[in-house]
Order: sequence, then C-alpha cells, then structure tokens
Amino acid sequence: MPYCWFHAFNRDSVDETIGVLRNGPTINPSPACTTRLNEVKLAIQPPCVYAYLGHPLPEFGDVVLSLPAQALRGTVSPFDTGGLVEHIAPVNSWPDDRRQEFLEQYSWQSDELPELLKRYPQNTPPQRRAYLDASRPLVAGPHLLWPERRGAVTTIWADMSNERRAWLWEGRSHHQLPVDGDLVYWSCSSPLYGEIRERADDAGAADIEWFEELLSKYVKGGVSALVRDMRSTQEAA
Amino acid sequence: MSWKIVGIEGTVPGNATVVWGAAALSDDTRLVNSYTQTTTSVTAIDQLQGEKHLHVFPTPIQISDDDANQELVVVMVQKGTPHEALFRPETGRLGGVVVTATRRNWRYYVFAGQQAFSVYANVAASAVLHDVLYKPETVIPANKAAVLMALTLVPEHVQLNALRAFLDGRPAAERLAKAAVRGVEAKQDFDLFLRALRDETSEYQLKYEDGAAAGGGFDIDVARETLGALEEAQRQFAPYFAHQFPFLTVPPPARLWGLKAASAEFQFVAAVKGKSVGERVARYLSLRFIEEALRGDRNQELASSRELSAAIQKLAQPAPATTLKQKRLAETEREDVHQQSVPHVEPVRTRPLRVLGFISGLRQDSRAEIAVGTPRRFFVSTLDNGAHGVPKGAEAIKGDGRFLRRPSLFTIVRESSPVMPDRFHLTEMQVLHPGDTREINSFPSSVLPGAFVTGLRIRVAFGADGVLVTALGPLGRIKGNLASANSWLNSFRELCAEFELKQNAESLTWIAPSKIEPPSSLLRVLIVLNSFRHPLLVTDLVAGINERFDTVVRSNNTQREVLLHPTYFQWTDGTERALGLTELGRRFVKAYIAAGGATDGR
Repeated sequence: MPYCWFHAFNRDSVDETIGVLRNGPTINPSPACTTRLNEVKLAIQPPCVYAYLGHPLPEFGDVVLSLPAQALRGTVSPFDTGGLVEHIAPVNSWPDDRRQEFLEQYSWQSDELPELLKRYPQNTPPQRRAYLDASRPLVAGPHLLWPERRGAVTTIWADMSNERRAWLWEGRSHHQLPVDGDLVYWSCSSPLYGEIRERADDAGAADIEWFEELLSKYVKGGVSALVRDMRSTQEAA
Repeated sequence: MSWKIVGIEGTVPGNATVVWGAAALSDDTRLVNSYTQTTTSVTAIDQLQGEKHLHVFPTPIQISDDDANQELVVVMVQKGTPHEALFRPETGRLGGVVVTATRRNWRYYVFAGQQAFSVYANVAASAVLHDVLYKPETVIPANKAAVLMALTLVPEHVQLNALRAFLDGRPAAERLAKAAVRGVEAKQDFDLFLRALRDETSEYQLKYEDGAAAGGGFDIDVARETLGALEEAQRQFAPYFAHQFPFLTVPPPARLWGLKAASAEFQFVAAVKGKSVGERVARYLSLRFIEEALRGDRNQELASSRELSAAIQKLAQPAPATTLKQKRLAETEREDVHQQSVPHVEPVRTRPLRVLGFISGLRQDSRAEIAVGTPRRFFVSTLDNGAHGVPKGAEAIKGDGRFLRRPSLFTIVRESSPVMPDRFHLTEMQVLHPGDTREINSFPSSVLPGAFVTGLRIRVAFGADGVLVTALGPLGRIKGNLASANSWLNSFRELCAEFELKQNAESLTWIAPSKIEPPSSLLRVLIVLNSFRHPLLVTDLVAGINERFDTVVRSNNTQREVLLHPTYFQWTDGTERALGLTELGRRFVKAYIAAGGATDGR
C-alpha cells in the first residue's frame, strides 16, 4: 500500500514529545477530553489513539509522525469518527444510537484496508492524487461503495457543509499506536526541532543510536512540509 | 477577494529568536494552509490555536491575490533576542520577499516559496558561521546557541552541523550532527570540515628531491618559483573557495612554518598563533585543495583555468628531474606526487534542448526565471545567449508581463565546468498563443535528476479554446495564474515520466547530468537486484549493497525502501521470502543506468 498513516500531536514538554516519537502516542487519560467524550457517544471501546491515512487532521500541527499503512493494527473507517459527533452533517444531528450504528456499519479491521482502498479512493494515480489533495469523493456517501454493508444512506460526502474530515480514512488503535522502529518520517515546528537537537546531544550511550535514526528521518519545515513532501511519494508508489 | 496571513503553523515560544513555517491564509471565510492548500472554515481558528496547532498573529498581514497562490513561508524574528541581527533578512538583497510587517516584538518576513526561503536560510547560516568562526572566542555557550538556531533553519547544513559537533566536543554530539547531514558526499564534507575545525597542530610538507634539489636545498630562483606557484594555485582556487565556503574569508597565502636544513623541504601550517578559528579553517581547506590537486584525486574539482593547471604542474615539478613527496595534513607519512599533465578543461555545452515550460519571474528585465520541470527553476539571461548574441524571441519579454506563466517553448544549452555550477543559456524562446502548434525535442528526466531525455519529436498544440495538448497527452485548459501553470507543468512532467519508463531504455537518448551524484538508498536496492537474474533474500541483498557501495546499511533501511516504493518490488511466496523487481522496477533502473546514473560507490 503506498499510503502512510499520519498522527499529528503536541505535548507540553520536549521530553514527552520525544517519548511519543520513540514509543508511539498513547491515549489521553483525561475522561473529560473531547476524544474520550466522543468515544462515549460513539460507543468506541476501549479508548483509542487515532491516525489518518495520506494526510493528518487537523490542517495545521506542531508535530507529526508517519507510519507505513501496515503499521496500524485496529479499526478503520472512511471518515473522522470525532467529526460524526460535531462536524459531519447529517450524522452530527442524529441521536447517539443511530450514530453508533452508522459507525459500526462503516468500520473494518485494519488488515482489510488493502481491499477497502480498491473501492475508495481506488488505485489509479489520478484517484490517489485526488484523495491526497483532499478532494471531495465523486459519490454521495459510503453506502454507494459498500452496499453490502446495508449501512445508512447519507450524503456525508456530498453535503457541501462538510469538509475533508468527512472523507479521510481514519485508523484507531486501542490504547496506543506503537512506533516499533516503523517511523517513516516526522516533522515539527522549528523551535521544537532545536529543543530536540539539544536533548539528543545530552543523550546517553543507550539512546544514541535511536536519536541518530530519528534525526535522519526528520523532514524540515513542520507538519505541512512533511505532508506536502510525502504527497508525491504516496501518489507515485 | 482580500487575502491575509493570520498565523503560522505550530507554536512560537515567547523567548524564540527565529521561527519559520507554513502560513495560514484567510479570506474571512476560509482558512488555507499555504503548503498543502488544504482548506477549512475560518471558524476553526480558535480551536486550532487552543490546541496549539497554530500560532495566530495579533493583527493579520494583508497580501495580494497573486501572492496568496504561492507556497508562502513565514519567518518571524524577535527584536531584542540574542543573535537576532544574524537572522534578520536583508530584504533589499534577497529576492522573493512578498511582504514584511512588524507586530509588537516580532518582525515578519513572508517568502514566496521554498526556494526563496532556502536562499534566506543559507544566507543566515553563513552569517552565523562567519560570526562564530571569526569571534575572538569561538567555543562559548552563546555561539553554540546561535549555531543551534541556524540549524532550525537548515537542519542538514554540513558546516553548521560540523561546527555544532566541534563546539560541543562530545562524541555523541558528533554522531548526531553527522546523522542530520544527508548523503554520502555531504557526510564526507562534514568529516573534512570537522577535521579542519579540530586540527591545531598538523603540518603540510612538500619535499623535493633530485633534479634542482640534488645535493640538498634549492637555488633561490627555483625556491621563489616554487613558492610562487603555490601562491598562484591558491589564488586560482579563490573563486571556487569563495563559492564553496561563502562564510569563510579567503585565506591569505600559505604560512611557511619551516624549512628543513640541508634539504628542499617546506613545512606549512594552518594554525597561526593569535588568529581566529575561521582563518585556521580557511588555511586548512586551502592547503587541502593543494593536496588534492597534486594527487589528481577524482573528487578534486580542478579548475578550467590554464593558470591553475600551470601552477600545479610547476609545483609538482619546478625543474627537470625534480621529484616531489607531500605529507598531507591528516597523514603522518609522505606520498609520492607524480608529475601530471593537467589539461585545460573547456566548459562543456550540450546540444540545444527544446523544452516546454513557462517564465515564472523576471529579475531586472534581463534575467528570466524559467520552470521546465527540473527539480528547481533556474535563471537565464534574456540579453546574452551564451555566444554574445541576443536570444531569439526574447523581445516577447517586455511591457505588461502577459508572457508570465504562459506556456512557452525554450531552446536552452547547458554549460558545465568543474569549478562553477551549471549554467543554462537561452538561445531561443516562443510564448505559445492559442492556435499555435510547435514541437519540442527534450524533457527533464524523472529517473535521473539533472539528466534530459532528448532526440524526440513531441508535438505541442495550444488550441483556440485555450486547451494545451501534447503528443504525450492533454494538459488541460490554461489559465494565467501560477497555480494553473504549476498544475499543467506537473501534469506534463507525469506524462513524460510515464513515457520515459514505457519506452525500452535502448530506444531513448539521454544527456547525463554534469555531475553524477551517488545513488540514493532506493536506487542502491534497485541496482543490486537488477544485477541478479533472480530474487534475493534480504540478508544477501544487504550484503550486496554494502559491498558494491562500500557502505553499511541495515535490513530495516532496505525494507523501508520496499515499503515506500511497493510498485518496484515483489516478494516471492514461500517460507523464505526473497525480493525481486517488478517490470516497472526493472524499467526504472534500466532507464537510470542508460541515463548515466552512478551504479557503484566510487
């Protein structure tokens, strides 16, 4: 699969940021955070860490890491699940049980992703490019691509009030998204890069090799630079 | 429509001196990312700021609609912070600054794209290097901080990373600084510069024997001519030195440290007491140029100057039957220098390449920036075609700018010289108008950067309906803005790439790049697999790469390339999976080799 998963994040300290790049992001433990509250409404259990295929959410970020498509083990859906609660019409106006049913109808195990991608966005270079450019799909909703799921008929992809989160593949991994040496590339804002370089120079012998690998995978310019640079890689593959 | 820059991606610490990143643009309805062009509602701005994905400016910066279409890069420099002056761009000298503004403590500079930003970033890097290297005290914490700030602009900069390793002094810092540098050649340059920084004691020695040195010593006229030849050689290197190391002052003539009694042995040093680290480094590198020139090393870029050739020959053999041994700075033993005939090297010009592209900008009406699908745009003179004539058709570049971003045919000639970067001469140009049909004969290669596929006949038709069509495929309707120009040129590049891989490599003609870079990680895998007729186990593949390219890679580096480029590779079935090439992968590497790409580690 040519695509990569992207996880954009920020942390309060450079050490926490380094921890995420090394071990992978874990869930935000606060039950009051928006993600946990949305999971309750959507009956997503246990709590998950989220990544997006081809490009991250949101449109701007402080730090981002990218992983190969095979690296995420969990569940996938062709929309941002958090968006179902607040942003994606008409689902955001539905009662919780109906939303949960919709989510269940359009969720698959991550190892099915190669087949799923053949239906959306499909495999030709122009279709891959359109997906990576966050272009609106040509059909009104996922029910038209997966009729066998007998899912609710919605216009989440055609509704002009909806943005790219409505048609972006989301992957969710229980509790943690392990990196495990799979990090493809990463980037961050320029001041944070300086802080990470300083930390790296203070690293002990046990950590040097990891920091060497990390610095060799850095893409300068920040989250958006990484997304832009990896667009052509993902498209051409 | 009125566009403004409302913020910069990421966070901006309160004590930062310099910050840069993608611009967040708004027309009061939408919020647009200047790098990715992704769009969201402007109502998301508060949430993005609250979640620290976006730093919002106290007051937006207005820009024109045309500028809003560009891949804007924002640089913020904070007044009153340490080293601020080194990072403040000289907007009068630098090109590509779209707008500047001041808000409270911050100065904002908005660059019209990555290339313009890169020029600024490298200028700032040079300013920091010069400032630190020529200070009375170099190894102090404040200098380390300045170098780190510069590395946030150019993380992969060779000399900045070497300087950071030098200032830190710890082995770990050296490893990490080298890890940040990309490419085999760049890492070699890192090693050299770090040696130059650290070496305070080495001598460079020239020892002459026989001939004019028979019986010990030199007659003074021979000594004068020999030292004069060394001085001339260093003087001839000066332009190349200034180009390679713009942050170093060109060194004075070599410091003669000693003459060994009863011999014709000259001893030179780079470290002179009381002089700056910068002067020591400059002297070291200058002496190293001499070392390499005398060795005739393949990596040494000998100047095309006849004066330099003559000076090196004189240095190698100042008089008949006189032999020379040199002890290089980094070595302890002497080595023979063989008298060599260094031919004068004329610049090399390609045949005329007729390509499709557009003019993206003009500098002072005499230099046009053209985009033809190469990785970077380049400038050509509109007054001199390289043969002291005016390019044919250049009168179209006048007046109201309507030629800008219009499909055009350019006939260009690439001129290469070992001592200077490549130059392109424009010999003819034609701005296409609706109804025109023309032919091109070349396009930039997609398999080997810097190469051109040539000897073709590709028809280009600009229809009366504004649709541009080529023999390789349609490029769509042409609008006059930069986004449209970039879009159709990108589409053409993709069609050319497809064509280049579809044809058998034997049926195409390439003009190779003037300088062949070592193959990338991907190409190393492709080259080794192509050299075998059967798939290889990963362990065997890695061993093959390490042997052929004299490197040390691990299997996860190799597997990463396979993950990133799955259409070039295929795994065999079975318990022990071997890796082979797909048809596309084989075509790609054959085209790369036919285009003149490097296939080993030399």
